Amino acid sequence: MTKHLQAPNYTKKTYPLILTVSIFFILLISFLGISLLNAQYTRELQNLSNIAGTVLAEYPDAEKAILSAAQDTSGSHLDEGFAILEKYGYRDNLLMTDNPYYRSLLGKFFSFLILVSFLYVVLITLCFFSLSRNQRAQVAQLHALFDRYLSEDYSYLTDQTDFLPTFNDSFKDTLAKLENKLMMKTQELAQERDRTKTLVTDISHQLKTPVSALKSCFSMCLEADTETERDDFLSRCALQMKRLESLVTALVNISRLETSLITLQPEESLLSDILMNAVNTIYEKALQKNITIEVDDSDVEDAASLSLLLDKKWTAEAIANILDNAVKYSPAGSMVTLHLHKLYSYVRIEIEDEGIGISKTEYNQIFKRFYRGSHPIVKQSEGSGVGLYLSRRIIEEQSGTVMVKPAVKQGSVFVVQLPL
Amino acid sequence: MRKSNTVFHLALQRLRYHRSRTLLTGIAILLTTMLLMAIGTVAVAMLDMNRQMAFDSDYHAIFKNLTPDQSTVLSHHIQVEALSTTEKFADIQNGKMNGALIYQESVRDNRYADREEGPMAPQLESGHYPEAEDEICSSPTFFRRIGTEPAVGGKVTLSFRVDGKGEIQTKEFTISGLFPDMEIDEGIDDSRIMWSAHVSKALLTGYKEKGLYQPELSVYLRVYGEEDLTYDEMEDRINAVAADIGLAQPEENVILNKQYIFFVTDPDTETMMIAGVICLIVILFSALVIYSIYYVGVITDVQEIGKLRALGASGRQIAGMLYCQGAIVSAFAIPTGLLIGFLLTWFLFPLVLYAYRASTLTSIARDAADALFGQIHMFSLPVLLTVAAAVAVTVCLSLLKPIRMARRISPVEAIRYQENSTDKKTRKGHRQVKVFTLTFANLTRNKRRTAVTILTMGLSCVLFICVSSVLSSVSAEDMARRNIEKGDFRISLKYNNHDAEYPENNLDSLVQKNYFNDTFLAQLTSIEGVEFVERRYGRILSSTEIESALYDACENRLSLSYFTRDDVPELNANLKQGSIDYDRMTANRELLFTHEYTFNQYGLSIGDVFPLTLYDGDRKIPFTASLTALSESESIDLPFLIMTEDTWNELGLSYDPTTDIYLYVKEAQYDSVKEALTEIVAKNEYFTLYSMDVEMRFGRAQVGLTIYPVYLLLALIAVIGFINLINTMITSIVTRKKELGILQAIGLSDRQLVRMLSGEGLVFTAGTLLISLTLGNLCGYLFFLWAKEYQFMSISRYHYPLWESVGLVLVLLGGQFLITRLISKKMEKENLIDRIRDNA
Amino acid sequence: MKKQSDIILETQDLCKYYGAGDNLVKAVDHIDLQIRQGEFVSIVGKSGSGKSTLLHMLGALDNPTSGKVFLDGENIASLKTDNLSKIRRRKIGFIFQAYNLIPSLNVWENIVLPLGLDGKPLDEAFIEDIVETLGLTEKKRSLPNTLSGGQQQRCAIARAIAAKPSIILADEPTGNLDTKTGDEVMALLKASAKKYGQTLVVITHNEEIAQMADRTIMLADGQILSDGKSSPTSNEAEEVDDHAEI
Repeated sequence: MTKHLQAPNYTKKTYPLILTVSIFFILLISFLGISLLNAQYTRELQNLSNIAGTVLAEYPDAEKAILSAAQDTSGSHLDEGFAILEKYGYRDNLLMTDNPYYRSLLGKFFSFLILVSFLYVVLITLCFFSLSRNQRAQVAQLHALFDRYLSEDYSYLTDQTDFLPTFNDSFKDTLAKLENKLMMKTQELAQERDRTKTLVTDISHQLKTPVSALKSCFSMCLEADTETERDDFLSRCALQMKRLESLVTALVNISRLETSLITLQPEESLLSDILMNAVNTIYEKALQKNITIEVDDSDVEDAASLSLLLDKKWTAEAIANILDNAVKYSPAGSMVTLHLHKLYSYVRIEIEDEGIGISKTEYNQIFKRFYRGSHPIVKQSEGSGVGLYLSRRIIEEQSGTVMVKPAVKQGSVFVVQLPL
Repeated sequence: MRKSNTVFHLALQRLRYHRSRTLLTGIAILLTTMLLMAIGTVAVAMLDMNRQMAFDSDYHAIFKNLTPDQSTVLSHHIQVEALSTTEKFADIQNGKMNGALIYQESVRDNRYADREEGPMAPQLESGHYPEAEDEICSSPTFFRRIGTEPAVGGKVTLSFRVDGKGEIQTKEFTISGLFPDMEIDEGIDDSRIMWSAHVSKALLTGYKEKGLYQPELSVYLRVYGEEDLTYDEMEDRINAVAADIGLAQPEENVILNKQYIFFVTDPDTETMMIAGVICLIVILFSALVIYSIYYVGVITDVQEIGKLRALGASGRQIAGMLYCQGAIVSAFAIPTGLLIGFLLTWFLFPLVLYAYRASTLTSIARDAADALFGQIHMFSLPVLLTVAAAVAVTVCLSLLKPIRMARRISPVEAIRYQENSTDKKTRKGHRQVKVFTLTFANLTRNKRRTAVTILTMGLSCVLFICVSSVLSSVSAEDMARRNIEKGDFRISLKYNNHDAEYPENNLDSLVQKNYFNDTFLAQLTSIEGVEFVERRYGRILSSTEIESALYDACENRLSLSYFTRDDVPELNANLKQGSIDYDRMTANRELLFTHEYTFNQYGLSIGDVFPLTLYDGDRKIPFTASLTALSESESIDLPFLIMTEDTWNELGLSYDPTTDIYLYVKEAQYDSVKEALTEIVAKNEYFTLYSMDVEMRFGRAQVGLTIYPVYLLLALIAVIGFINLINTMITSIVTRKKELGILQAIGLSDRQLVRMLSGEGLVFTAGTLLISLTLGNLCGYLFFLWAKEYQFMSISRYHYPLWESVGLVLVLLGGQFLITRLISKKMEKENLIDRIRDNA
Repeated sequence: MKKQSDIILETQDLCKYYGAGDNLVKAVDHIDLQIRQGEFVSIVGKSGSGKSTLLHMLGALDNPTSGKVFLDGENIASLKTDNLSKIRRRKIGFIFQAYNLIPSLNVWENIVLPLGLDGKPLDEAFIEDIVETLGLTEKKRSLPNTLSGGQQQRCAIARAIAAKPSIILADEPTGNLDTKTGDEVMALLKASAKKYGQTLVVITHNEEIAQMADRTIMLADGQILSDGKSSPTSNEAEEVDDHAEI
């Protein structure tokens, strides 16, 4: 930005040009007017000479009379002349265009005038056009500049020292400052991003440790030298065994469930009853973890009397399973909310928790038998992967649907739709 | 720069994307431009043609009964451009030939002041105009007809009556010059052509000195200003000149060349208004065509505008884009339309002339047509600019519609915009849906669109019917029937009213000879093929002793005839003044006048009483008659004065007053009867034969030159209107491509599609027909009345354009059928999915 | 072909290419697929994965570049257009993202339109039942543009079901609807299909919606990425056990 460039001022140049052109054309038209007058004067002289010649050829004595008439500007014999000529149609209302001579003169005048006006308009238009073109060029240059900024390229001004000859230096200085500032901000952002990346890598690295610890626990148990060591490892193994046991129990449950259990008996039942039953089932558990369960039926006017054709017991069981799931994976002191919505043909129950949430790839899996989430907390906790499966079967059997979505902040939302 | 480029680019891309719509719009604009341009060009060409045809008699007015002094003043009057005298010196007496010896002299002609060749007079092919006392020049055909070899220097003997009066003179002339040859069909009788031969001033002077010829000094003059003034102003100017020179009785002595002035001057306000209204109607309906094309596609536009607005385009940018689009399409369509419209006329107009030339029978008309070939000036910049401007403005206005619609609603609403049907939220509908239900629902959903489509299609048909109404009323037969009121032939007695020199030629003498006696009629009836012979109402001469301008104008002899009780309704229909009551008129011996113009010209009024003398052969009957009614008769044959049949019978005429006989013949023997009649008529110098075929040819020749270009115009309207109609239908289908796609996706078969579209087409066609056959016929009749009022082609009787209407119905039905087929064929080829997704 | 009793829709080596040379787009690239009678299949993929093209070919709306589509054991490509029309209105019901109702007809007329086109006598009780199920009873005479998106899509579902087609093809049926309405519409669609024993193929990019299906087919770049059963009722549930972490 050291090179000093004087911005040519087009505005200053254009107005004198227009002025010059206008004056030239005014002069041209004045000249035209004067030459017309001159032509008229010549014609008048010719006419007079012709009349004098014709009359004098017949009446030579009239010379004096004619010449005095030619110089008589007071028009003393005007009326007599009019009276005679009137018979031949010379009257006030004669049109100039009827006379071939004046007609052609008028034609020439108008064609000249049109030509001149046309040229004038063209020239003036060109002047204005060049003016506006420069303005547009400036705008276009600025546009190009901003486009580069938007694509995070701030080197335009520094690259091109002859940039924008039509802008003055203070403007360019401001632009240069803007460029620097933007460049700085962009670099800061990039650094921030890098830091976050490292953090995530670190955390996942940390997560791997407990798993490998468990693995080493087993191998160490096998290779244990002392009794106490072995006991220690064995107790840890016992814990794993206990989990296995609970899993087997669940397996038995499921096989029973699968074979005979699901014979639903729909009856008119109050939704509030069903929800109450469901909440009661897991109330104890929630209390232990200090988790609040709240039912939000503000969206439904007749929530208390809303009655559906459902199997009361099993529907409550289905919802209870979902609630159980929510309570299980939610931190102590958090909240589980049931939002009720009445749609046209369905009641929509959203069960929202603030727990660990479910990854999107698992949406299709969690309602499957024995499926257990991949999340470490899920793995740590007890469970058989049966509850949600059961819920879905019960709900779908009654023409309802259940699905899971991520909650707005954290945790999941289980959406249950039951037909009205 | 960048911004406007984007808008332009967007417009261009949109045009490319909606290729079919762009094409249809372009075609609509092109056709409309073409139609307007073609109409304009035909109009210019017709005007120019008439102007050129009128050039043969390019004077503005005739001044009669001038004094020599007045003539001198006139020749120096400042507003007189050209002055010439034409004197009709004598009638040629040569059998039944109709001819005159004339003398022409150009006194002054300022038009050619700066030219060498001097005033324009008919050019001689050889020789020179007569100078010596015995010189004569005319066309070779004239000389051939009177039996002389046409050669310069040849001798010819002619009989003539100076001023049509006095004794027949015979004189030998030398042919001094010959005009270009003109062939006249052999079938045309000498009596039906007006021949003329030029003689020298010396001859006239000789007769003047002998006191045998008292010329009526009359001049043909042109005044300045025909290019600048209107008809009315020209008339005023001519009358002012007449007043300047103190011409006596200007009402009678100034005769305007109305037709010529009409064609060369700027049209007067009334004509301008009528032409303006017609132009406006044509432009209006053309505008409607373009508007409807845009209107039909408005949904897509509104949706896209919504999207653009959602993206942040300003109203100005959107308007800019749409105008840009319109401008791009117009930039291609308008110039092309102008060019094609002009070229079409440019190529077809001479063809029309050629067709006319082939159909005509007189060489004069043929020459006129020949002379016009390639000579007609058709190009008019104002017409071109007006057409271009009108179309451009229409396009602009049509483009505004979607912008306005899109502005009224939010961008999101615009994106989802479905046709703003009626405010109705529900539809009664049917329990079961058939293909017809679909058709009907489509039509009623947007009644306005249906109406616009029908109106667009209808209006071109209205224009068509309108023009053809007038055209079908211009009938050569109507013209022919003026000379042969009924039957196929007419034998007419050629008589004089009051020839003092040769009284044997007067009607009162001729009736005594009783040429049309029963024997003669029996002779006619006996000709093989003659079915029926009928005497025409007879005529009788009358004179009056009182001062009467009417009687003075015709040497105090006027023929009288009668009307029957059956004629009363027709006479009553055209009654102008007074009243017609057959019994009262019989009782009071009242007379009816049959010609309004003459009535006013001679200052007659209802209640005038004439003491008349009627000439029944050698007998004189005194008759006092009062004039009690004025009616316009359509037959030019009728005498001015008619009485009732009963009054006529009471006269107790002793001689048969028949002057005309009508013959009805069998069609197959027409030619042989004509031959026989020609022979019979040739034997009596007082007989003239009118035959229907010749009259028809005259009629056709008379209407032809004007009517053929109008037919061209009609054809153009029909063709362009039809293409426009097709265009409209295609557009209405193409813009619903998506909807039709959906229907097909849910199982509408191709056959059902055709049925549905045909149903729609049928409703459109029916609507179109309804409009064109009601509004069209109404407009057509009004147009006819206007044309009759202005004596356009002497139209007198309204003929319903039956064939044109039938043709219209067939073409509409056929076209609609064809379009539906073609479009569904084309749609089959197109991918269903593309159509459902396509937003255009 | 060897028709298995319960396979209603099958594709063999199905391909659809657009363009040529460098611009060649393989919208559907060698897809083999079998859909059983009564199954609810969701086809999931990002936009541009070829899922719509696949659906259009399944529904005989589009012609494949190569390969075959068998509907009820019949090769669709070998049929004439008029027969295709018949198949479309008798065996297939379409539901589009943009509803695509006929704007000039009211709700009832839209629903009975496929029947009318087929010239079948109207089973009014059945239609009324559908209308009732879909909650359109009060809107029977309304014109489509006066309805909300959910109502319009319900009407479209009713139209698809009305002709008792054996298969319903839905292309992003909830794409234009808000979540709640979308969920409800899907629930309705599923319930109706189940009620009338119809096979349901739904295209969606929304994996939450896909949860409702018995089976989810993932598409990417015109090829099948995975074809997994998502329903607990699936017969092949045991397979999942292998993956279950214990």
